[in-house]
Amino acid sequence: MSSTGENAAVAVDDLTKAYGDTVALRDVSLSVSPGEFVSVVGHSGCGKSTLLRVLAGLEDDFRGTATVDGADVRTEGGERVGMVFQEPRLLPWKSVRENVAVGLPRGVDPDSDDAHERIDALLDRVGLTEFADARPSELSGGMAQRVSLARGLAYDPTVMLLDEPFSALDALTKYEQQDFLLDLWRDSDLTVVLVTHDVEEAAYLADRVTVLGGQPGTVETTVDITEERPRDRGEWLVDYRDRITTALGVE
Amino acid sequence: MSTRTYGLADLSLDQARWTLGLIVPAFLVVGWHVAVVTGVFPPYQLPKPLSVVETLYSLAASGELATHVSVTVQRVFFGCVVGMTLAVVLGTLTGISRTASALLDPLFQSLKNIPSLAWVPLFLLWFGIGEVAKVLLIAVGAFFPVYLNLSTGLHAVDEARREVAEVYDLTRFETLKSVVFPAALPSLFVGVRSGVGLAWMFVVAAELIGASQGLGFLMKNGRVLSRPDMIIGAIVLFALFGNLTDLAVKEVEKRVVDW
Repeated sequence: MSSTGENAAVAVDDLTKAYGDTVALRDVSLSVSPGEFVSVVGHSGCGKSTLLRVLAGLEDDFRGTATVDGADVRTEGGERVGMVFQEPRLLPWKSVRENVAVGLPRGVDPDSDDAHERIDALLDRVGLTEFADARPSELSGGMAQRVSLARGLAYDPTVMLLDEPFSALDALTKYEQQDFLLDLWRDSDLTVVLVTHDVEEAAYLADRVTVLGGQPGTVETTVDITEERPRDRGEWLVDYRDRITTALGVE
Repeated sequence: MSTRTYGLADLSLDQARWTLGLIVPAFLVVGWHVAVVTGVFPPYQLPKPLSVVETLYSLAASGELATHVSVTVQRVFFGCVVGMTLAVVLGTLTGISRTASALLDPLFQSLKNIPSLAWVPLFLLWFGIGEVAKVLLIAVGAFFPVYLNLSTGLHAVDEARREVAEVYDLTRFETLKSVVFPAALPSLFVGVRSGVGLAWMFVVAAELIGASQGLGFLMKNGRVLSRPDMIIGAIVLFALFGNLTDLAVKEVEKRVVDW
C-alpha cells in the first residue's frame, strides 16, 4: 500500500483509466477518511463519473490502485459501496418497497421480518412511508432519487457514492435534497463521495472539495472547507466558489 | 398496483370513439348490399350481406359450425402452445447466454427468412395430412415472432439497470428475475401478439391444403360448391376470432405489464 494510509475509507493511488485509446483519468490520487464527506468537481468529460464507476467496481480494467476499506474495488472493495446515479435507475415494475429491497445485502432474505423492519425504517427516514406500495412512475423526480438513496442505504455500505444526484432536479427541490442528504450523513457514520459539476453544491456539502481538471482528468487541487456546520448558503460560499472556479480555470 | 380511475367524460369519449370506428364499416356493408341488389355484382360471386348471415345461422343451427370452429380453434391453440413454448425456451436461452446465442441465433435468423409455407410439402410428406402437420405448421408460424422478440428484448435490457444489479451485488438468478426478464416482458408480448396473428394465418393455409373440418375447410368447400356466402362467412368468423384473441392477449398484457 502507499502513502494514502491504511485507515482510509477510500484510497485511490495513481489511478489511470482508459477506454480504448481515450484516457479518461490520469494519475489520480484521492484519500477519504471514514465518515468524511468529499466532493469531486470538474467540467463534464473530466472523468469524474469514471472515478465513481471505478470505486463502485463497475470498471475492472485500470492502472493504479483503488481500495475501499483497504480492499481492492475489483473484488471485495466494490461490494462495500452503494451508489446513487444521476438518474434514479429504479425498476419500474417493482414497488418503492421492493426497489429499496434490491439494495439489501446478499444473504438477507427480503421477506424476513428483519428486512421488513429495515426497509420500513429506511422509508421512514427518506419520508416515503406513504409511498411504500407505489410504483416509481407515480413519484416525482426528487422522491425517486430518495428511493435510490434508500436503496443504497439498505445495502449498508461503508461508502456512499453519489454521481450528480441532484442535477436533474429544479432549484428548490435540489436545496431540499441537499439538506436531506446532509441530515442523513450527519446521523450516520457514512463516508460520502459526491461527484458534481455544481461548485456551490460541492462546497456547501463537503468537508473537502477535490478539483479534477484537464483532459484526461487529473487532480488540480484540493480545497478544505473549514466552515462550521450546520452551514447556511450565505456569504462564506462565495469565497470558496471563487477558489474552486479559479482552480477549474474559469475566470 | 397502480389503479386508474375513469370519469364519466372518459367513458363517453371512449364510447364515442367506438361508435366512430363503426361508421365506415357500416357504410361498406350498406354499399355492399346496394351493389348486389342493383346488380353490380351477380349473387353467385358476391351474395348479399344478409344471406351470409343466414348461411352462418343455418350452419350454426345444424351444429356443423360449432364443429368447424372448435377444430380450428384447437389447431390454433395447440400450434401456439407448441410454437411459443419452444420460442420462450430458445429465446430465453439465446437471450441470456452468449454461447447459446452464438451457436443458435444465426440459424434461427436464417430460418426465419424461409417463407413458412415452404415447409408445407415437407410436413405433408413427413406427417401426412393429419393433425400433426397442421399443428406443426401453425407452430412454425407462431414460433418466430416470439423467439425473435424475446431474444432481442433480453439482449436489449438497459445497461444502466444491469449496473444497478452489479453495484448491489445481485446474484445472476436475482438479476434475471428482477431486472432482465421483467424488462423484456413488453417485447415478449409484441412477439406473442404477432405470433397469434400468424397462427391464424397459418391455420387457413393448413386447412385449405388438406382438411375435412375447420373454417379453412369451410372456405375451400365454399369455393368447390360455388358458395361465396360460405367463404365470406368463414372470413367474417376469422376476423371475429382473430380480433378476439388479439384483444385477449392485449388484456393479459395490460395485467402483466402494469407499470
